[in-house]
Order: sequence, then structure tokens, then C-alpha cells
Amino acid sequence: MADDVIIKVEGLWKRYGLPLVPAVKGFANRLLGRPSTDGGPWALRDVSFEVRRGETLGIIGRNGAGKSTLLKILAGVTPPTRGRVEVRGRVFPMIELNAGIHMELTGRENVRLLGAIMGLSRREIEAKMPEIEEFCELGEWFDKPVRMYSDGMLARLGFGVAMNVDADILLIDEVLAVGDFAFQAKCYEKIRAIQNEGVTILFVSHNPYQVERLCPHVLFLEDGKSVFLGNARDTVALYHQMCNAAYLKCIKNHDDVSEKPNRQGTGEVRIEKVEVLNSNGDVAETVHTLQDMRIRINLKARKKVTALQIRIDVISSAQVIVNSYMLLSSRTQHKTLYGECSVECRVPKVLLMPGVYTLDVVIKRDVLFDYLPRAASFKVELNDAEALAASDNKGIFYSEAEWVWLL
Amino acid sequence: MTKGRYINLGNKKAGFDRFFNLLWALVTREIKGQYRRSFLGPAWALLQPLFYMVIFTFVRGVLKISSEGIPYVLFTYSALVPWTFFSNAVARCGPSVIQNAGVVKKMALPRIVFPTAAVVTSLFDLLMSGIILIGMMFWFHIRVGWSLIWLPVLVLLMALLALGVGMVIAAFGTYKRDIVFATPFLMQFWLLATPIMYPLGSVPERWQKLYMLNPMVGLIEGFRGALIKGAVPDLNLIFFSLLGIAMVWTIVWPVFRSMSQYFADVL
Repeated sequence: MADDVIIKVEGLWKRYGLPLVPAVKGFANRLLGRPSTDGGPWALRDVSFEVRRGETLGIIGRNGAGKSTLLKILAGVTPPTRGRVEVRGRVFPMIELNAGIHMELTGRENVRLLGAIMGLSRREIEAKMPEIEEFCELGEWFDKPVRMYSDGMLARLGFGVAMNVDADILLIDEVLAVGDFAFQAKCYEKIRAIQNEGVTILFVSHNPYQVERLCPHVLFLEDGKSVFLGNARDTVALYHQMCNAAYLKCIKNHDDVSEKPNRQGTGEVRIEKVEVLNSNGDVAETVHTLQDMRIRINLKARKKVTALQIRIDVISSAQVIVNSYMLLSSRTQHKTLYGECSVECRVPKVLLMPGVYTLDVVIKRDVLFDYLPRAASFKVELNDAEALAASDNKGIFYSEAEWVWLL
Repeated sequence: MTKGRYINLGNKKAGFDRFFNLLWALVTREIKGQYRRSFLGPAWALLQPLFYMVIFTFVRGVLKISSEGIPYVLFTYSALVPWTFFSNAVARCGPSVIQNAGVVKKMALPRIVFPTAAVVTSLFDLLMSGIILIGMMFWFHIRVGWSLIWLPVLVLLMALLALGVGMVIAAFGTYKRDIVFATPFLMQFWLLATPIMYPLGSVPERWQKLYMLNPMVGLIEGFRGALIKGAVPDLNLIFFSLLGIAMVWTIVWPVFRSMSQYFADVL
């Protein structure tokens, strides 16, 4: 293998459990004349890749795609079923909260324990202790039994140890999800520093934004197979596409407004229908970035109401409210509603990134009349390749900018 | 189909240093963790053999068991102390891997460190219950001699046997818990098949051969003899024990090695 290749994986297959079990099953099947199966389920199928020294490889994929299995095999925790895995260096898996941690021991004692588990000598651990203590920011809690800790505090402890060992290869599995923003920011910074020191990092997450931010190269796993390996932007875009397709399928099943059970609100005003219209004014499933969009809401008021307040939340597939459109009650003071009526929210320029979005609609005055989560869903596309490239196909909203040379 | 291969060219630090470091960390964790949330703390280590001693003394009142002229309390307690060490060590081995699931699933460690830590932790209990034993010996004015140097040897052999048996329980128990649940029964049975509440001499002649298959016989009898009678252990018996330990290890070691690779898969 080339000199700077630090991890080499060739035709890796992995099935969990003792290899004896499928062998016995296969033998029994043959004896009974039943068709032999491949003995599945396979956690990984024929995965191959290489990582060079100092590189950071992101690994994305949906739940159960085989991300964590891959890390386990690289750490040498579980043997590969078929194929060849070659690692050149000290591997440190980032131990997630509560692993190896004894609840009755204090934070400091647990750091010693984790250090020993990770292969540090006692002198090395004591030398690192102040650094770790400072990194964890646990204050006096550092000398209190871990059983009193919250999940976030435990994660800080684990992260503090992992970030301060001298590894050649660091495996990070889904750990930035915990911790408050300040600590997360600190972790990013620390990971950046470690990257600069030339440590090879494998970073697993199902948050594509995190991966995009930290990893130049990304491996996309689906069903144990490696779907794509390339630069972060293309891989993440592909991942978004696949996730959106699955997400769209999931929400389409719930789209009929009239069948929404358990609606909140008094019901004096009901939302009958919510539609998304494209720039031509046609009801559509797809709208385009930088073009017009209208959201039409059909209402039915059972009694006369004025000063109605309507709010539309636009929610991305990551379940984040991207923006909100609010019709303030001060604007509808003189508008009396009764019976069926429609209102349109006109958005002159859609600034959403391509993807799948859903709408939550709320109608209230001093009391809540109606609240309809996932009242409608729509896709956003951006066909202008140049415009898309100008945004690097990244981020959570689209915004135009002008570049001006000043010299 | 070729078997998968995992090659790590970078783990130069692996070795004895690392192993003992880890062992030490696990043992201190066990001992500290075990006692930090109890009133009696390490005193629990004393209570178990004392409790058996009281029961055996009562049983003896009913069954008229010989104690070869030694005060019965001392006779039985001097065997119960090493036995309790052995049986606790075996019992601790069983769930040792399961209890460390979090670590086993994350780090590539020599798996044998977990049962080894279980046995070493039990050594600590042995030291605690030894204190009462020393007190008793003063009370009964027992004179000791050079034969005491046999004690560490015998304890080491018991530790090896306990680790051997414990590894089987840990290996299979990690996959299916049954054998872990069965351990207490097994140890009760073993207790009665070892000369602890009665002397070796009172075992009927025709059962002696079968009885000697138990490797603990020579070790316990030797321990008691060396401590109280100032006698060198019967080397024939010790030889049988050694043979037993060697047999256990020849079978258990390869089984544990191959099964332990897949521990992380089933935890």
C-alpha cells in the first residue's frame, strides 16, 4: 500500500454474531433441501475505500446504514466477516457517554479509567489531567460522582478525554449532537486543531451540515453498501436527494387535511385546505428558488370573527423552522370573516434552498382556533445551474450576492 | 469464501505494560465502586465466610463431623477463606464482560482483562477475610512455621483455576446468560464436594478416586494444612490439582479466544 495511506479497506463484508451460526443454518438448509440463503442480514456489503494520513473522512447515511459498524471494525472491536482491513496507526474511538464509566466514581477517577482503557499510562493521564479538566468545564462537578451528572455532562467528560489523547486515527461517532452550543463550538475548534496536527479523523454523523463543515471527503453508506465516495458537496447533495425522496414519501401519506385527527383549537375557524401555487398561479408540488410562490389557505368560520391572526411556519426536512409568515391581527381588525373564505400569502422571491419543505398553519385570535401541522408539503428546485453553483449548494437558505472588484 | 482479516500495524504500545495498566484501573474501579455505596463497605468481604462458618458449626452439632482435633470454628473457617475467594472469583468472572459492554463495544482490548480483573478484585476480599483468620489463630494459639510460604503458591493456583473456570462462564455467558444464572448452584455443589466442612480423611475409600478429580481438593486441604498444622501440602494432591488446572486451561483458552472476538457483536 502507498506510503501515506493509513487506512485501507478492501471488499469488506460484515455480519454480526458468531460465524458458526450461519454456517450451521446453511448446512441444515442443505440437508433439508431448502434453498440456501446468503445467510444475511449483512451490516456491510463489499465496502472499499482508502484514507490518507491526515485526511478527514466523513461517513453519512441513514440509521442502520452501517456507519457505526464500519467504525467498530476499524477500531478492531469486531472482526470483518470477509475482506481485508489494514490500519497503520494508533486508533482511538471517541467513547460516547457512559462507556467505561462507573457511576459511583468521580469525574476525575473516570478520566483515569477512560485513559487506561484508551491505553495511556498513569503518568500520561496525570500529565493530561489539567488540560482535560479545563476542557470539560465541569468545575467542582469534576470531583463529584458521575451518577449526579446529566447526559450532556457525561458527554463532555468522554469528549474531553478523547480530544486530548495523542492518536494517529480518531474515530468520532455521532457525538457532537450532545452538549450546548458553546461546547459544540469548542468541540469544532478542537477538531480543527487536531486536523491541523495531521491526525486522521473518521467522522460519522447523520447530520449532513456537520459533515459538510468538517470533512473534505465523504463516504455515503446505504443498506451497508457504499453508494458514493467523493467530495463533501456532491456526496451531501446526493444524500439530501435520497433523504428528501424518502421524506417526501413519508409525508405524502399524511397530506390529506380533512383526515388529520386530534386537531387542536376551538374550531370556530377551521383550515379547510392549504395549497402551494407556483409563479404561474397554478397549484403545484414544486416551486423554484428566486421565483414567486403563493400559499393559499381556505378557511371556514362558523361565526363572525375579526382581528384574525394567521401564521405559516416553513419547516425543512431537518425539522427546523426555516422561516415564518405572520398575518398580524392589527392588519385584519376591520376584516370580518364568516363562512368560507380564502387568503393568500404571496412570497415574491423564494429564498429556500432546494429540498422538501412542509408548512404548519396556525389560526388564532385570543384563543387558538386551529393548528394544522404539516398542512402541506412542497419541493423547491433551482434549475439554474450557475446560480446553484454560486451558492456551492450548501447552507439552509439561498441568497443572491454581487461580487465587486475594488481595485 | 475467505475469512475477513483485520491488520493493525500501528499498535506498538500493546503489551504487558498496557495490560497491567488497564487491569489496575479496572480493579481499583471495582473495589472503589463496590464499597462506596454501602454502609459496611469492605466488611462485606468478611461476612460471607463468617456466615458459612456459623451454618457449618450448627450442622456439625447435628452430624458429628470430625475436625482432626482442631477447634472446628478454625478448622472450617481456614478453608472457607480461600474457598470464598475462589467462588467469588468465579462468580465475578461470569458477568464481567457483560458489565463492561460499553468498553467492549468501543475499544479493542485484550478481552481476558475483564475476567482477570474479576479474579484480582476477589484477592482484595481474600485479604480482608484473612484479617479475621489471623485474629482467630492468635485466639487459639496456633503456631505457624515455614509452611506459610506455601500459601501464596496455593492462592495463585486457585486464582488460575478460578480464571480458567470463569473464562468458560464469561465466554458462553456473554452469548446466553443461562450459565451465569447457574453459577451460584454450581458453586454450592462444588463447595460440598470440597473438604471444607469436613476433613478429607472422612471421605469414604471407594469415592476417593472420583473425589480427587476436583482440583480444589488438594488446594484447600493444602491451604488448611499449611496454615494450621504447619504441614507441607500433600504433593500428590497438588499434582492432581495442577493437572486439573492444566486441563481446564488447554480447553478453555482456545474457546475463550475464538469466542471473545465476537463479544462486541452480541452485547
